[in-house]
Amino acid sequence: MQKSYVYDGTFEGYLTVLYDIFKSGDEPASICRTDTGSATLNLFSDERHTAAEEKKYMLMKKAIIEKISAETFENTVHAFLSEMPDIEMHIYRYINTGREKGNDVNKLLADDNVIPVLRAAQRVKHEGHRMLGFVRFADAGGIYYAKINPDANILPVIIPHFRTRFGSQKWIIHDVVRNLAAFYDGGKCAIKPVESLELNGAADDETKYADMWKAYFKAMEIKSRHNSKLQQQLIPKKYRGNITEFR
Amino acid sequence: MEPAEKLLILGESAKYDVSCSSSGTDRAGIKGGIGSAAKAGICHTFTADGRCISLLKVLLTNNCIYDCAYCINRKSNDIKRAAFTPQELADITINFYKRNYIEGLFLSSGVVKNADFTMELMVRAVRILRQDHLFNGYIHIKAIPGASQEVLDEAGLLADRLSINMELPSDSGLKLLAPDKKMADITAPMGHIKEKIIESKADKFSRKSFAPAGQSTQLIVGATGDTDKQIISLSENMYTGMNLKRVYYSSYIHVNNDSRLPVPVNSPLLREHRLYQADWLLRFYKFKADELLDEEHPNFDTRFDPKAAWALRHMEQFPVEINTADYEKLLRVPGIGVRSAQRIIKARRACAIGVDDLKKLGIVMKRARFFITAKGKSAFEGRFSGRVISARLLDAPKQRYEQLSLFKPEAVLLPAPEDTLKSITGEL
Ligand code: SF4
Repeated sequence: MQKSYVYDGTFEGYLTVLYDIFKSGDEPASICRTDTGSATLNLFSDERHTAAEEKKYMLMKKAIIEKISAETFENTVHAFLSEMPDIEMHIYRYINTGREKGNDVNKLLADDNVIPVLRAAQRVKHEGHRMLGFVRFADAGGIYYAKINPDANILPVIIPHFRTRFGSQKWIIHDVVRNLAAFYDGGKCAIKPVESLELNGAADDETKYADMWKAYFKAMEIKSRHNSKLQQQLIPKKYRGNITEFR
Repeated sequence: MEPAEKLLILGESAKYDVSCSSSGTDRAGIKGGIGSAAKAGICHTFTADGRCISLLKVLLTNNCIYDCAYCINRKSNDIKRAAFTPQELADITINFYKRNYIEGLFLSSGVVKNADFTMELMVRAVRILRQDHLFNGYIHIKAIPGASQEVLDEAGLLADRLSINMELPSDSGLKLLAPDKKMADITAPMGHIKEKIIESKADKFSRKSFAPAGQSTQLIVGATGDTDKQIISLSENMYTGMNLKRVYYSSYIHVNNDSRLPVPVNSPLLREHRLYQADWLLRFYKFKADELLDEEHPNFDTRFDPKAAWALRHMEQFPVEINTADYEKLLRVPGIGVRSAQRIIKARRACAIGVDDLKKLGIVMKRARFFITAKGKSAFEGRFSGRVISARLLDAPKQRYEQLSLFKPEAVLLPAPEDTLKSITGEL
């Protein structure tokens, strides 16, 4: 009989489940998370899972990278972060195909076992890239704080960029859709679940610079070429609530 | 005057400059400093006319001793003038950067006293950023025509990119509209920058590279009578002769009343758009300028993009079989861009591709289907002839261009959003 699997919502938990599935050799009926909340990726966190899970996770990760390819692992991570319905089963089929075809799986651009994962991974990468530009920090007295509301769980995707960019500048990026925040202290970075964040308030010149930026942004439009439809495609309305110049 | 007010005046005066690219350098942060550069380029926001803002684009001052006919800052105009001190400009830049508003700075200026005096001020602002703030983000400096080699050398070591604007595609145009500038004031610095870049690339031991993101320029289109063929040939020369990274085209915007200037035409944006499309074809599709346009066709077809227009004149080279054609050949198929061609090549290694697979591959078939076969089968029903296909191409998307006559007395032809995107991504 086909089994249904349940995991804790983390990427590590998911790979642990995949390990069990491939070990059993049977096609699963379904793979679901226990929580209805969002998945977290603990790559950046200090917390560890139980030894047994940790081991299975590492083995599964190694198997994907060595038996299929690093590209496949990367696609798996990105697709998982998309939080698309049924993504767990899609990734299972994708990896299953990869076991047979090796890295060629990523060339099967017309295969229904592969397309959903590649599309999801693509979407997450795309949103992640966009967000590199759209994140807006405010100086909350020495710590720069930003809120985001992305479709996918992109914090793990964008963190490396902001770490190298801001060097010793401390920041927090808060995903308000998932109640997750990335905390960077100028050296280390961790993603943690948060209910709400209390910050000490804004630095003295915060509004000065925010207002300057807003005024500059408005002045940059060439009025005779107004095209808000194009603008909407490029910077969708759904993000604007957290973007300084649209507030 | 408060810096906030200066920023408005000096941003306003800089906004007609089109180049906003921040790509081309890949650099991690430096210890204790701030900033990095991303090769892919990052747009931070988009203005209500749909242009990307990546860099803080601003003038150091809009004071100018010159009187170029087309320019809002020319000395004979009665406008509000302002000038940043180098320190003020550096402060704004670093504070915008820390908030992730911008990817870096694009600094240009009107001419105060003379070219070198102005460039010195610009260099000072940039030096504050680089040396005091250890700012490691992207900086583009627009050199002033006539700048000396010494000051260019300094600027090149601080900036990621240097540019010097050609503005007008011909000497006669320059004489008419920018009488204070000589072609040599532009080409000499351009040549010098080119040499310095080559030198710095060859020198493996030098610690600081010279304008690592290369050199670019801008042309104003439509202020003079130059044809598209003249413009695109000039671009080709600048790509091959001056090693330029990019040529930007800016359709002439009417800001001054001056009898030397042309009456604004109907579809300046469409023309600019066609030039950008052709520019992609020169840089990434291995087309030559004289393939795209000739004496008989000195200007681009308004109805077809330059690649489709070329294909329709060369039906003998089509249809192309997508399972066997090499990469170069695939690239010449209308509707198949760099990404699509790469995808086809990747996919067909696994197995032969049929017509139905193409859609799954994400290939946009709207135009491509007329020019290809897959496993020997045509992708559309109909006779394969130039006449039939050009009619079908014109027929397909009824509303290709929106009419936005609300905003201007004369009708403005705007490329459809999908078409605009193509000139950004270059998927032609
Ligand atoms: S030199 Fe530059 S700023 Fe001065 S009038 Fe000419 S184009 Fe304008």
